Amino acid sequence: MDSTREQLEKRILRISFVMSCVLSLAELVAAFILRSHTVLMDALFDSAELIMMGPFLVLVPLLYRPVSERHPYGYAQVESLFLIIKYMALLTLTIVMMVENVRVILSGGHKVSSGAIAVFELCIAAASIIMYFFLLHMSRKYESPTIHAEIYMWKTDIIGSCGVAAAFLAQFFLGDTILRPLTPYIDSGVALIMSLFLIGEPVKELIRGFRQMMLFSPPEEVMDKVHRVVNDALEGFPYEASFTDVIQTGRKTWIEVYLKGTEDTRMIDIGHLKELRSRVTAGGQKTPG
Amino acid sequence: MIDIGHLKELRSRVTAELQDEFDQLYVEFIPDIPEDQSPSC
Repeated sequence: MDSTREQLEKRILRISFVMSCVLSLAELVAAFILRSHTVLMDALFDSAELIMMGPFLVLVPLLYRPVSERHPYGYAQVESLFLIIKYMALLTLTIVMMVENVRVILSGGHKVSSGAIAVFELCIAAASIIMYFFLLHMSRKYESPTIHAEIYMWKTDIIGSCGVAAAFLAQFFLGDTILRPLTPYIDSGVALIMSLFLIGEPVKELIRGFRQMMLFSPPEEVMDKVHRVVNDALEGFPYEASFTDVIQTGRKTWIEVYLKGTEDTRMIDIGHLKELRSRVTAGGQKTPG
Repeated sequence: MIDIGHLKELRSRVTAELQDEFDQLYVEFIPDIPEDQSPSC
């Protein structure tokens, strides 16, 4: 089962990786030919994803290794660490993009070949939409934080490409109107607005990643659900939960419940523990599909 | 069946042996229950 999942995840990541390589290369070439800051920034953003994704293809098999005395939590923390590095790089790039665009706007903006850039970005958006729906379809069969991160990246590509295409189409049509003086600012203005939309996800993921790395408990709604499932499971047994230890790291969740006898007894029935574990595991598992 | 008194005794013994080597030591004895077979009592 795990080996099938591993194969499926590797295949999804490989397809996403190859497609990203093709699009990033096209963007770099287009940025050079069209001399557009926005296309260059888009290309840099995508290239950063690729640089981080390559090593991850090597890391995936480690995530499926069973726990051992040497690695009591398996390699789950590696995934959390990797996602922190990835989102840190994306956050840094987004901030650099914002600063650069503010600088361009303050220095009077710049003009570029709007029609050619718009057509190019629409082609990139079409390719990204195909990849987004492909990954969304695959994630219904199997979901992981890495695939979730990939879907997010393709979503940002679609938003980015459509935003840039719209900006340059607008620049193209504003050329002969009263709004003509605005045209030099459209490129950087839209890139800035795009950055404001994109900055939320890396910040959110970084906070989640650091919480996982510090082995803090998951968000309150997850803890509430675990407490509810545990209390429901304990119904009819002579125990109560004195402490619930929940650790989420990478794609793994560990739940340990410390039990206290509610009756005056020194004995714990192992059959009860087995039954309780089955109930809590069943209550906490994701519904397939 | 597991005797809670045994677990307490085991924890005390291991803690006593190791407590000089670690600042904050927490020892737990957890029953290892196989997934696919009945537990032995």
